[in-house]
Amino acid sequence: MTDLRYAVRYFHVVPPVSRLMVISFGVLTTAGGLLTVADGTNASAAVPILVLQAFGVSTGFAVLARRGYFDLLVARGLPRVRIAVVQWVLAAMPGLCCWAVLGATHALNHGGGNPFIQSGTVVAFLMASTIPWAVSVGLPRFSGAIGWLLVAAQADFGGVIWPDSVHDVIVPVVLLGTDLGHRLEVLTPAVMLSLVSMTLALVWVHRSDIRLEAAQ
Amino acid sequence: MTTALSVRDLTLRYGRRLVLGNVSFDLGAGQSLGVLGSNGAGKTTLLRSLIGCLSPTTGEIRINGLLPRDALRRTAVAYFAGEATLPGFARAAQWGALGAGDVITVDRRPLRALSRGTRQLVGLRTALGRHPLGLVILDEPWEGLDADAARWLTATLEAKRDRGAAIVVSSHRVDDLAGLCDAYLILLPHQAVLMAAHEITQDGPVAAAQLAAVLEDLAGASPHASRRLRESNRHNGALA
Repeated sequence: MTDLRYAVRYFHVVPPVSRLMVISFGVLTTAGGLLTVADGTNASAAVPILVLQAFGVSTGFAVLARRGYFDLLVARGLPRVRIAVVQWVLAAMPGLCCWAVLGATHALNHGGGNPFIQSGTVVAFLMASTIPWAVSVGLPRFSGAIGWLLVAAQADFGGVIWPDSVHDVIVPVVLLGTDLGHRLEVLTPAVMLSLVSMTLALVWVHRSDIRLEAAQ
Repeated sequence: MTTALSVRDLTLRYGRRLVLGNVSFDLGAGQSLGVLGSNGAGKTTLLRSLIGCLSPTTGEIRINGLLPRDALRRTAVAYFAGEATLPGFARAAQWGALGAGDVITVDRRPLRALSRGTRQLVGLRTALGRHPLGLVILDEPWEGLDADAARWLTATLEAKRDRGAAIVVSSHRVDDLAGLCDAYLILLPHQAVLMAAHEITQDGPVAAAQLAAVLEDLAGASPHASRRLRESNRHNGALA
């Protein structure tokens, strides 16, 4: 517990999400909240939050580790996986808070039938919060989100007609506000993709060496 | 004297390239080891492997009898690899408080706004802030420090050593390490030579000139160097 507290304190000093990005989250949530108050029929206000979330969690964990940023934590004996999990949770936190604010705004203004807590929205945020972090774990910051946007653009404008289920997993923005209760062909691969990518990333973090960038 | 750090036949490769070959030494609590070598000799790689960030290709590292990753949870270790490893956007005062929670500096500027020497000092004071320390591992800690700060660092290391901490400190300058250490590990291409201080001189602490002469001998291929090398290797691992 002391370890976790120290890690949280550390990431308070060395935040995984930049201040500019946190401000962007705030601006987008304010705008999204106003949109939600005016029109409570869909979750479109969450689209920019979802995209920003993908960028926010694309932290490039191992690149920061190779710069020696986490040496203080490593020397304290914190297991690398724990450091990585704390960093991921704190990187995902701003986006998840904004999503909660939008959901609460909808509930306060429009009552039931909240599109922000539909299963499609939950799955979309799960994917946006996990896969870009996992993909960028050994790559530079933002690479996971950029890669995802390229794949999504290819799926929408690449000239290839993908099956609906594949398209919806690749472009989770379309899942916002939808109910996936009867669409297991989307729900299952989406959840599996998130869990498997995170598991593989954490195994990689546990097993790989942390060379210093400038080291011999 | 208990062995705080034991390194046995440590070999480390990056891909096919041999970076460290057959390094062995034991270091007891309250002893200090100076790691010397030219740029690219593998000093940083050795020190990083001691805290478990790099896995040995062959050989073994033990801290108080445990593998580094397990030992770090039980032994208080200070490790610092230089100011370049500090996140520049972190605020100096907050970073300093991550050590033992004490106020190290009241400067609220981001670390990148500080001078190189000040960053180095903040990093060192943060890493060395914990106490009591069982093991101190510092990579070229004198880099960028002014004379006062360098004296503070040397005095701090001596104080930690006297209180029972094992110290491993690297430098590529003999002036930094001369007189401070009980033994010197000299990293040469594909070879490491361990020399106890009393092997270099019987008359008190090792002087910088004496250490420089040893390095020159080892770097050259003279028969004298080869003899010294053979003698040193016989003492390998017999420090603790």
